[in-house]
Amino acid sequence: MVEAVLTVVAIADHHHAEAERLLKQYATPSGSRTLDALQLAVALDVHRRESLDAVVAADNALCQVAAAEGLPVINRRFPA
Amino acid sequence: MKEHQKVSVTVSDTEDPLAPMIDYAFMESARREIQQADHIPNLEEVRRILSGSPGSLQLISAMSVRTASEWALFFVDSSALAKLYQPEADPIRSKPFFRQPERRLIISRLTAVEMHSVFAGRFGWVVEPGRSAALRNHF
Repeated sequence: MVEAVLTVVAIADHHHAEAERLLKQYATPSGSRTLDALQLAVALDVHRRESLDAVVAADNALCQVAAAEGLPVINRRFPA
Repeated sequence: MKEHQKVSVTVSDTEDPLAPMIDYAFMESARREIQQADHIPNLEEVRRILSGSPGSLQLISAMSVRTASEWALFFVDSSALAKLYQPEADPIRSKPFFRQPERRLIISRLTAVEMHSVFAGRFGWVVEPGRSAALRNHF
């Protein structure tokens, strides 16, 4: 039996642009969530290349934006 | 091979769709750190250290370039990865997700940076400079 495999993907310039779009669309006065936007920009890129089964996070705001962007989400903050 | 023998040939497209995104340089660097490390702590050791006694510990970031296109694919945010190391987290609830077979877990390079902040900020523990090795065995 082979255990799960972890892969690290790089941040590219176009991820910054995508993060800007996400911030313009979803940022709230309570926080800019810049790093979350970058994470989601990368997740969206991955999803376009190979369909994700889920984005796994323990952050309600991030999960809400990911779902709004059409990504399947597993919220580890409130696991089923 | 004898004349009457048959040969079956299967051609499959094994190209990894995520290959252009993978940070091979970082993963290779981490792999070298793993190989040179005197000791790679297991998850329970990490949790013990984070729960009380601060000290030196090699931060681990697991790396593999294996292609697993048929596996379930998950993008793991820093907030979820941090839960793996929280001493107060329910290990029964959080550990199995990261240990289940045939799952490909994707993290961004940003998460590898954020984990330093998680350890230093949330757990009051500082990763030794230049000693950010790997957690391969934890996945």
